[in-house]
Amino acid sequence: MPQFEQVGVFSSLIFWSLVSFAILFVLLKKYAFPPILEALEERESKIRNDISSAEQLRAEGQKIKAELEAELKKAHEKANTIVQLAHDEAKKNQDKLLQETQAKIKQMQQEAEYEIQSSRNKLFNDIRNYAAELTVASVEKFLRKRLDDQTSQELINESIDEVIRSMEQSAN
Amino acid sequence: MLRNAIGKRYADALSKSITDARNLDGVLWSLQSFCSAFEAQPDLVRFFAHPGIPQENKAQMVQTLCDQLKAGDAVRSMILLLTERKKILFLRSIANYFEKVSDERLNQVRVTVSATRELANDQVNHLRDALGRILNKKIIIETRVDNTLIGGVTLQVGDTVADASIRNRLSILKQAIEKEEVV
Repeated sequence: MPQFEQVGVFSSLIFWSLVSFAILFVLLKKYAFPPILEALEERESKIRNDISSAEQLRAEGQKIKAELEAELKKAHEKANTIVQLAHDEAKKNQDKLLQETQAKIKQMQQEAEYEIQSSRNKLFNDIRNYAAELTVASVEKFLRKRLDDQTSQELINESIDEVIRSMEQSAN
Repeated sequence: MLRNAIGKRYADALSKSITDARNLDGVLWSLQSFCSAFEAQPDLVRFFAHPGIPQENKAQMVQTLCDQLKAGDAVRSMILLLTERKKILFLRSIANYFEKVSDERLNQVRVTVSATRELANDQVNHLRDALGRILNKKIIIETRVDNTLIGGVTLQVGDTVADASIRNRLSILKQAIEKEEVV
């Protein structure tokens, strides 16, 4: 290459360039690199820390998420239990109300039947009493009209025999 | 209760004081006459019950009444004793008990027969003979007319009643109809 054909011309330049590079390198290594490296390390450390923090936060987040999910699941279960209990309670109340209503209806029915029976009995009693009164009054009226002296005497004679028989039975 | 106890005590005492049973009827008649007089004359009751009238006046009144009724000594003594002990107002109870005691001693029983018509003699005699045979006692029959019986007779001997009247039969009929079950 033509560039390397001129080495002889620029040898001193190359030499001094190398020397100045070396000096610059040494200076840089002594004064510039350490703070830069330190800064880089700090930066790296910070980034590592940040990453670590982020990882930790992420882990915590995951944990919180898991906890929240668990809480949510629990809340779900609890809600389901409450709903089930409410449902059971409502069913129980409904059954109880139904039973009470049925018992009340039965009692009302029995009371109504009893009342009907009482009214029926009372009515029949009244009819019987009225029929008895009417019959006796009619028979008495009839007998008073039809009983003449002869019949009365015959009746008295029969009654005397009857009371004598009655007294005989009592004496025996 | 007290009235009964007093009546029984004095009646028993009076009966014991009469030894001859044949006099019992006369004594009973006198006692009943006194009772009738007391019941007919309320003033007589007030006279004997009045605490202000002297005992001598009451005794005098008893003697007068006994003379009028021709009461025997036993009755006279009894009435005087009752006046003295202020028990004259129990005379009805005493007479009733004496009737029972007298009937027991005389082995007789009083029978009340009620009928719608006055009983004929042969009916009364038939009843007396039959009851005398059944009860083995002398029967004294008192007859009453009761038109409420409608027909037939009722008979009362002491606490026993034999009712063969139409009224009783109608009453039984009425009870039977009232008890009749309706299907």
